Amino acid sequence: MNITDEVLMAYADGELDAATRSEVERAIAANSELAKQVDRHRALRTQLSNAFGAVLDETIPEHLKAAVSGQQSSSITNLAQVRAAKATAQQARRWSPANWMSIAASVTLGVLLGHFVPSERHSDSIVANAALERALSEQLASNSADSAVQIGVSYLDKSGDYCRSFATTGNDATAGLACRTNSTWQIRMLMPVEKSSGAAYRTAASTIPAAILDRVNHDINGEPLDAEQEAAVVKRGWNAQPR
Amino acid sequence: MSHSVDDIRSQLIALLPRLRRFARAIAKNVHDADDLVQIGVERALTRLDQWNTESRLESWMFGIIRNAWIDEVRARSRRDKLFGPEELGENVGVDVVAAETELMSVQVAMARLPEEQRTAVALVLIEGLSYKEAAAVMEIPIGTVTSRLARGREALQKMLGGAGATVQ
Repeated sequence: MNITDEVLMAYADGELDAATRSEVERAIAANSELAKQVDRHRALRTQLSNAFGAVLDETIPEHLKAAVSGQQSSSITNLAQVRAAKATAQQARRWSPANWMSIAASVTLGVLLGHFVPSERHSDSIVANAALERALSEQLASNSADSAVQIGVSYLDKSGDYCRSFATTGNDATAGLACRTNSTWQIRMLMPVEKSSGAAYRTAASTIPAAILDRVNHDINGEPLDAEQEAAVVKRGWNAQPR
Repeated sequence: MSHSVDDIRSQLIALLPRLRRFARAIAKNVHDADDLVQIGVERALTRLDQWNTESRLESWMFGIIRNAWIDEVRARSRRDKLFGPEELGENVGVDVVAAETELMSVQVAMARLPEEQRTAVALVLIEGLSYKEAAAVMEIPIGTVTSRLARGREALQKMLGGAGATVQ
């Protein structure tokens, strides 16, 4: 028979029937090159077992044990929800750019990382969905307390676009920064927001992660809009100030 | 063998180390891996009636975890189209697992395999499933397991610079 590498692999893995096995053994005995190939297959298995074996000795995280004993909400079906649940559980920490970076480094999926979307790549940029669009266009910071979207600070950025920070409520609470460009709201930044468990949201401004506030401070042209200016610009549909 | 819910829960507790190892091997990232295990456990507990008790509990769990990962990979690829590729966090965690250079390179090499090969390698070479069991977990024919495994091994051996050639 033709001893392919796949056959040698199956031999090394103990997957051959007795007849094929003895045939392979005869071939190996006659050809040291085949024996080396088998050794390589076995060595790779050992190498992989060694590399991943350490996981077995790690302490099992409590939340996994709790999941098995059914002590956690059982409606979780994807990574984003796991993260949201975890974020709720770890409510004590305040956001700062430093811990945001470390979280960004450890959280790959599920949450929306703060991507800076260049405005010239319009087709790729993130555009607000209908609900967010409406809130960004119509809502005032002062009347967003009971709304699904909370508006924080509104301002003109250095390129002359109006921008607003916002936070959404609910399980996937997310904060972000949107700017009005080409008559649409484009999301410049998005990140998960920590929420004090059970408690109502604090004021909109304080739910906004420090990293977003830093961006605001960097991009802002002058001072944030005050309530009167905000109301005026909402009223004229976010068009530039009449000259 | 009894299969009361409590009994399954205690079997799952005993399985957690292996589920974590499997998730670590396919997800490349410690945090994603544990989240996958959690999703897997929660999904399993809500659909215990779907467990064909002819198959081993771990095989069923591996399948659930793998499907959860596939869902996530697809979601991520959709998200990447919407939000641009994620740069932060990609492959983070591979270096956390093992300090030794050789071991670290195994993690990195695994992370570079295509999903389907990585899963086959994880099931057979790390978790010790037979080809038949791995085929059931991945819901593919045995021949496909064999070829994915062969390609995965070849790629790993290349990436590990023939380190696999050293006989223990």
